[in-house]
Amino acid sequence: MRSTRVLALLPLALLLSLAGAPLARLMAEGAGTLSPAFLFDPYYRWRLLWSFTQALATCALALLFGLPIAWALARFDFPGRRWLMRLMMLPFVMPTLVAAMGVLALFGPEGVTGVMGQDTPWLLLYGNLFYNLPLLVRSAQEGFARLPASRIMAARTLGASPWRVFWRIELPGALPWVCSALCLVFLYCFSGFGLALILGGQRYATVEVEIYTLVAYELNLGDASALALTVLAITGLAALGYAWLERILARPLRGMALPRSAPTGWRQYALLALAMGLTAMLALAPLAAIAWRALWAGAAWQALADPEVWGALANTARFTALALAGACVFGLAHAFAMRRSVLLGTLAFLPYALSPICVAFGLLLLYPGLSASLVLLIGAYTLLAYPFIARGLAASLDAVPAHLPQAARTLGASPWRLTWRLLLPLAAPALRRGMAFAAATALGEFAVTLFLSRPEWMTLTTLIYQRLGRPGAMNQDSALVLSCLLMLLAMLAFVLIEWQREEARDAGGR
Amino acid sequence: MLEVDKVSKRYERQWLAHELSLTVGAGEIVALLGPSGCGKSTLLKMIAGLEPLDAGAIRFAGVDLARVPPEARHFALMFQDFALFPHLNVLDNVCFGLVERRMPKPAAREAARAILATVGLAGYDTRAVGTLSGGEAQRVALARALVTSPRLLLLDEPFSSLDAHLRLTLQAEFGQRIRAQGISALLVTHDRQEAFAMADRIALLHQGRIRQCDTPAGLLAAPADAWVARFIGFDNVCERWALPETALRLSASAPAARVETMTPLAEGMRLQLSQDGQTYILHLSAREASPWRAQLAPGASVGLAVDSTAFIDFV
Repeated sequence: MRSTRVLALLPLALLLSLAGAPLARLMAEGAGTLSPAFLFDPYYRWRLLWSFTQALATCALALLFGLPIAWALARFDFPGRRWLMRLMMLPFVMPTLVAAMGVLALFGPEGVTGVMGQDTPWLLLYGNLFYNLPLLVRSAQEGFARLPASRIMAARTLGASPWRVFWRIELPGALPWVCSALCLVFLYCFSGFGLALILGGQRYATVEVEIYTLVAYELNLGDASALALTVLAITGLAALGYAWLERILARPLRGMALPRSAPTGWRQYALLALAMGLTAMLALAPLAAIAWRALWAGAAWQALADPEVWGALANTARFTALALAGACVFGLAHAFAMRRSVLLGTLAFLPYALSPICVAFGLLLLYPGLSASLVLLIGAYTLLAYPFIARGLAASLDAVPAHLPQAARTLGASPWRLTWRLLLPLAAPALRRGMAFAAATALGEFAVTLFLSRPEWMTLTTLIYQRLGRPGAMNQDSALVLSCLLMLLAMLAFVLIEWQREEARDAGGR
Repeated sequence: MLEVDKVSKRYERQWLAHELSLTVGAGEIVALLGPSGCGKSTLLKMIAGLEPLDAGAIRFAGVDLARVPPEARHFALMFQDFALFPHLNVLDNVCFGLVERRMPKPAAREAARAILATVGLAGYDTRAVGTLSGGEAQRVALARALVTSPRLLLLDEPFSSLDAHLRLTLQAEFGQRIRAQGISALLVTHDRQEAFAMADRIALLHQGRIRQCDTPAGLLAAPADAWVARFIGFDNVCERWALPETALRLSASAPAARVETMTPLAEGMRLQLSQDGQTYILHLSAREASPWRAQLAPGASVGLAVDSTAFIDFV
């Protein structure tokens, strides 16, 4: 036990040097500039207010669309249910740039729908929903599915209609799950960068984009750090809310859950159709639009022969491989150290909650000499990617029944052999899934790369952004083609993840 | 061989073991019998080295085990739910301990196959452990424990997850197999039938202390106190004495007793009788009860002979 605690030093060092210290530096820098007068500056106030509004609006829309989908997934058994659940995972591995390009392909210039949405707030909200609707649906679905059947049955026998049962029993029961998802939705939307940069335009960009602009183009570090401090405070509150709710969710619910049944009656079929339609529209349409537009891009495919593209691909591959290796080391160490430690478990969540822009900015402030060093860039990639491995692996290790290691010990396995022969094989599916997520994160990394890399370290994401910024239809089309390529790579990670899940389910069913 | 010497262990202000002492001799099977939740399993885990002691010592063959890690003790522990490794097939589960003790893979496989055959599971090598029935899984767990020829076999409620019929069959079979190998074993159970069926000696554990440790016959002949007498199945127990049921007999010529209650059972009936202000419990088989059937209604009176020489006084 003592030796596993020592392992915690490794991830703690990473968190401290690449997240804690830079953020502390950022706070020190920002505290000087931040004042009520600063926040009442009409321009910054509009940025903050809009960031807040779009995050809240996304929460509201996710609730509106997500609850019917989640309820249908929790209660109905129907052909294709498993596919729908899988589809909900797809946005988690999609790089923000792909999502942004997908929304543009739908509603941008020459969009598939023919509707021009640019310079309206709707584009950003749509992009936000692409990511955050699945998050809410998956969480709420679990809440609905876990609710003890006896509660629902008791309510029905006491005279409540299904509609009343939903409002009085099911929704209150699932509320902790719904609220925890809403915390994350708010957090991600408020501190979102990639989507807002591309879809927000001049007027509807968020405060994160403002920070980036202030640092990269105006070199106004004081205002930037004051804004970053505000972002940190607000997202910190959301993260605390999430962490608090997580503890409630960890409590087991007693009683058998309601078994899923085939829908009956036109109302239930209508609800199911609505759920499937919404999922397709919000989670699938942007990706389909990219594929469709790329298919007709014709000459733009010649961009793939461009040495610049090959260089970017090589960089993406190199950074992803290095980040993955780092993520494995830190993820394994953190997973083994955090077992049965609440504090370390919460720390593993930290990199999810941090705004990448704030981290990157803090790193620039703290290590000005390392601003374009590979070590710092890969370190930041690792920081963002390793929690996927740590958290997944730790959950899987905690699920190993206590008597299995005990049996192995009495059969003569030393602690090291026990890890090697029992724990790692049992946790291998979780490890591979975590690695696929980590790889997808590194693959699609955009914000930190924009801040910390050198021109010659162009990755696929920064190249897409660059092409998008150049004038001319040809550049737009080649950005689309490259997005399609990035999407396919992300889907590869997705297939790896879902394939693993399938295998795990088969093994569990035996 | 095994010597548990004044071991103490507290858990949340409750003594799981309080200066508890116990020995298991060479080739002996000792049952640790006690109610659920009395700390039996914890004691077993302390012996295996999986739980630290608060005080006391555990020795094996005279060597203090305090600094010996579980894997170096060369004991085997069989769990209530078998603890088969789900990612390994039957053969690899059985091989596990041999491989840990540096036996080459082919030799380990050979030994594992041989022992699987002796427990009646020849040809199960490549089966996934999830596909085994309860009895099969139990046999695999026993094979995995025995194949390393452990110095001491620790069994934690090994039959409690099996159905009653299979439990009786396996208790007899496992008892013989363990004896045949000459392995010392410590069996933890809350089921007195199981303890009597398998053990050479039975230790009764109550509130962290061994209340009595004796052979099954010794226990029945002289239970040390009322708790022990009740726990091993005496129905007629007072603060100061216990009475075996064989000392009670219905007889027309004996002094009259009043029938307080009569409970029909699957294999006869249970009577509660009172005589001279003393209540007795008596079980009758259907055959024994048939001559008395008319007299056994509650409130009726029947002749009850009590053999006064059979009373066992507690010291």
